[in-house]
Amino acid sequence: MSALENAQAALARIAAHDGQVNAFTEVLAERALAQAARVDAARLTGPLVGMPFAAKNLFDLKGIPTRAGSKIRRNAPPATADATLVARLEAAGMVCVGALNMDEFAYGFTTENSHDGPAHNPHDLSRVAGGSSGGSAAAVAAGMVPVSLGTDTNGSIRVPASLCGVFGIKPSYGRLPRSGATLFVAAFDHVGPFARDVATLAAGYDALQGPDAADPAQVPMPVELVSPGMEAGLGDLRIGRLGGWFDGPQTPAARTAVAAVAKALGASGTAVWADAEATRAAAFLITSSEGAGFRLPELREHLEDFEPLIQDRLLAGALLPAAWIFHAQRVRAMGKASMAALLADWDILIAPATPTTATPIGQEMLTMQGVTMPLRPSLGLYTQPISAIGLPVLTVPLQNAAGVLPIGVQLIGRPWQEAALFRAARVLEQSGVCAAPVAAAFRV
Amino acid sequence: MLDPKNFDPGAYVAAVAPAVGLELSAERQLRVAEALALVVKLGAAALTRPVSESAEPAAMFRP
Repeated sequence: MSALENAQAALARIAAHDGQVNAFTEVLAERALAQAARVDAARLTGPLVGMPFAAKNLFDLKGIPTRAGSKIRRNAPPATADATLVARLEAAGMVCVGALNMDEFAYGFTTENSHDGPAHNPHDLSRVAGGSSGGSAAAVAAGMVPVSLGTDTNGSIRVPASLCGVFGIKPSYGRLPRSGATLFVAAFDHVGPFARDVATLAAGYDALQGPDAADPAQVPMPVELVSPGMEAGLGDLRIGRLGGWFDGPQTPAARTAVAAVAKALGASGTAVWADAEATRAAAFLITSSEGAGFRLPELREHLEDFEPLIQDRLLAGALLPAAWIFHAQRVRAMGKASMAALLADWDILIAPATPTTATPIGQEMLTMQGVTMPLRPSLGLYTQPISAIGLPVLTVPLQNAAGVLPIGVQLIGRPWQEAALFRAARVLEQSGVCAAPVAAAFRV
Repeated sequence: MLDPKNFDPGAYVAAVAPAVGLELSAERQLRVAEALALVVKLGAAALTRPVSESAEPAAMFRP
């Protein structure tokens, strides 16, 4: 198919299905068809040429306001240029078809957005898609686009990838440039793609790499392509499970999924990271403070226009003592050091991505193993400590983990060793343990 | 770092909100105090964790 035919087909799928899923906040048909025509005329070659994609609506898309899930910014001046990652995918021959639903300012794990409506899980429309990149995962799971872009501060790629049953990569902190993306917590913000198969995820990730001076947090690493070595198998990779904190409250579906992945990858032991809980707590404090600090001017002037679910959390975060955050940053550094010592013995560690499969939209509390806790923050129990120290994670999906619902498992790597994660993910895909077909209700 | 027995979220919110330019109604202050109490609860494992003097406080770092 030509790029134009692909774009037209994607736009038709969106028109047919997004009324149920609510993944898109803006469909950019005119832009997509123009870009597709340019791609066809250029006669580009490559794995991504002509492939449609969409971006979480905190990425700048030239010509429309970058709303970042908010009401406050939907009448902001249109972006004057595309975000770096959007431009890179289009440079690789892809075609952007729209902007995607998310939790306001990326502060949430469920994409229950009061302004745009909730994103619905394509596997069960009564359930959440996860968040904050819920539209990104749902659009891919429903087959509306093969690739999407999201961000991950505390789990916002990994949680929706898990609940929607798709692949997602949160690279090492500083690997990919965030230029042109609205930040939530600069100390933790990562960007990355979603896809339904490992080869497409790898091609997308490879196209996104490269230096960008516009992001001061990007680390000057060389481009390290993962696609060429993706079929190398496990070789001598040392693979284990994360125990301790990561064996905490979770549903049987999460526990069974971790066991299945561990078995398929021949995990040879269990590692316990003693600082996991403290690091997660540090991440919670830093997120509360930084997330609110970014929004303080708008909180002063437009408080009632914020998402009701986060108003009081943001206000509380804006008031945290500086001494707490200074201390939390040092706890984070200690967590990073103790994990580095652990990773001297392991190349990949396996952990749950979410403690549960997708929960009903509107659910407030979650009870697991006799412990009842607030649902929304609890979805990040097992992702938050890892992003806090910047390790790369590839989330792999297992289908029908609880009825029709999928669940994901985190493959956690050493810093800058994303390639090892793609090798393992490809082994899991080839063995049939992991897969991300279009959700049953949306298959043609 | 944190003494939960002597920390009063309600009093703290009332005292500090004006310092960052937030004018909060009494009703709002109560809700924010509840949210702050949750932050304290979920952050306690960090706030009670001793750190060495050499522990790095930089907000951004190379992983």
